[in-house]
Amino acid sequence: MCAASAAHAQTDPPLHRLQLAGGIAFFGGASLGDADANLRSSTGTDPYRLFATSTRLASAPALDLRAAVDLTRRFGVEAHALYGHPEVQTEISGDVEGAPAVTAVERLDHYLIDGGILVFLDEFRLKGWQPFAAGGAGYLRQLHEGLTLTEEGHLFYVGGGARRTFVARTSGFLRGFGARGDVRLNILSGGITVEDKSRSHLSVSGSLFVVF
Amino acid sequence: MRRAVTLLVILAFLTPQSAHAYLHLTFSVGSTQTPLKWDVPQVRWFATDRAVPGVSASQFQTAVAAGFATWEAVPTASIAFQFVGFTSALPFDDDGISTFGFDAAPDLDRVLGATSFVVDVTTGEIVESDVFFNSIFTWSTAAAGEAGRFDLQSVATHEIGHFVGLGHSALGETEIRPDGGRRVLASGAVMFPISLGRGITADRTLQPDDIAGVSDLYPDGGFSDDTGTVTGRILRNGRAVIGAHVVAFNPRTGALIGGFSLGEGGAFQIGGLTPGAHVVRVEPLDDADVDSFFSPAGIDVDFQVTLSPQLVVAPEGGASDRVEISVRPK
Repeated sequence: MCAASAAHAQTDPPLHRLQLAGGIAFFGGASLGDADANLRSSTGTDPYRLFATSTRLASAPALDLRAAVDLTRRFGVEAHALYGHPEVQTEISGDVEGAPAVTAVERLDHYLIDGGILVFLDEFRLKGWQPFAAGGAGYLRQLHEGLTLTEEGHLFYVGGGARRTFVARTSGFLRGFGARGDVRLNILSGGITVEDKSRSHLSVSGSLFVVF
Repeated sequence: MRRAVTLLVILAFLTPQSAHAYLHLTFSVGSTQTPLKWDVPQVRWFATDRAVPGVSASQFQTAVAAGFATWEAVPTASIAFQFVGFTSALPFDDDGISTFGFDAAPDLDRVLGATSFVVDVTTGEIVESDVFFNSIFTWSTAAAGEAGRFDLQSVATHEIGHFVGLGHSALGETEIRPDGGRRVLASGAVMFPISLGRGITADRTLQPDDIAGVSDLYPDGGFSDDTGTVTGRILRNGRAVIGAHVVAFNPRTGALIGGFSLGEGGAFQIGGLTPGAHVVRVEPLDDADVDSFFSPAGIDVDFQVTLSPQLVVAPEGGASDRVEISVRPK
């Protein structure tokens, strides 16, 4: 027990201190839905398809920022922001007059702002890396190319990761320094989409943090 | 004192045997092209007291009134109509009243109906418009349509589109029949110039292209603020393509709205779009006779159907950046 306490003191950020983290994320792509461009058929039955489309949000790197506080040795809270510049890609195929298939694209400005809780899993600590589980909710904001139109939505996420504090001090302005890695499943609804249903995006990130 | 002139407009709705989205009818006032439109709070119309086999005068009036109600119900447009009464006058009489009615025109054996206008030459305002339905064909007012007969309400809805100032839409697909006529495979607008065929009632219901067209002419209900416009140019080998049919498709809503590259340098604009990203498709005007839409002089149909490699965003209450779409010769 004593050894465990010593490990906390040396390898975890001090309680109730602000941790700021910045890093790189990779936001996974996801299908936004399929839609056919249909005319009314002269037979009055099935629609007449002019062409078909399938739209997805492409995966892209993103900037990842966090602010966190450990409330207890088991629980913490954090706020998180992610900014990326992914493409929306619409594959257009099956044109009734034989137009060659193309993938039409636009680039978005993609923001996620969320908050949630962290549950530290000391019992699974490995070589100084402290695992944690995370969950929360947030706000989605996407700006179409040219910044002429904004679409909003929200997200829920679950995930986890591990962190390691390389330096921890009990006094001074900077109380620690470390690294963390996160994996998340983001459930997004609203925003730019074709089908009005939620969709899941995986994201991974790696960041460095400092403790004040 | 109003000076008026009768236009030589015969906007015909053709039978399937024949042969800004939406196209607005325009009239030259001085050096500017002015959209043809009504400028009265309520447009008054009369129905002829003529019956044809299968359709009484009363049934005729009811079907036409239903067509008017369809246009009147568009929430983003403000235009209203009033049925005044029956008349013995014939359509196309220059008599100061707008008359809808049957008439026999055997020489127009491919024309189901047509619309004419009397226009104030100083303002472009419509002061009279008549619509005739060709009684050489067999007609029906049955609720679900009737095999072998043209649905009167569908054709009336199309002609009322002209009556309010809309031209023909090119949102449709046809094929050439062995006898040289055209067969409609599909259409995406009531204002497509060729009927879907006998027994079909689909044209009783306006499509997004029709709604955008009438809303652009008579905007109401936040139409201008709540919709967006896609703008661009069509080029072939760096030179303007005039008369290309350009269609914007919103994958989220499924709406198809068309326009034409009739502006300087092959410019086009398609308004009335739900804000968001659109797929843009360009095709030559080859699914109906070019003169069904506008004067064929200078219209270029020698290029391949092309899909834009760029999604074009229609911003709310504004216009997109101008997109340039290059097409290749056939």
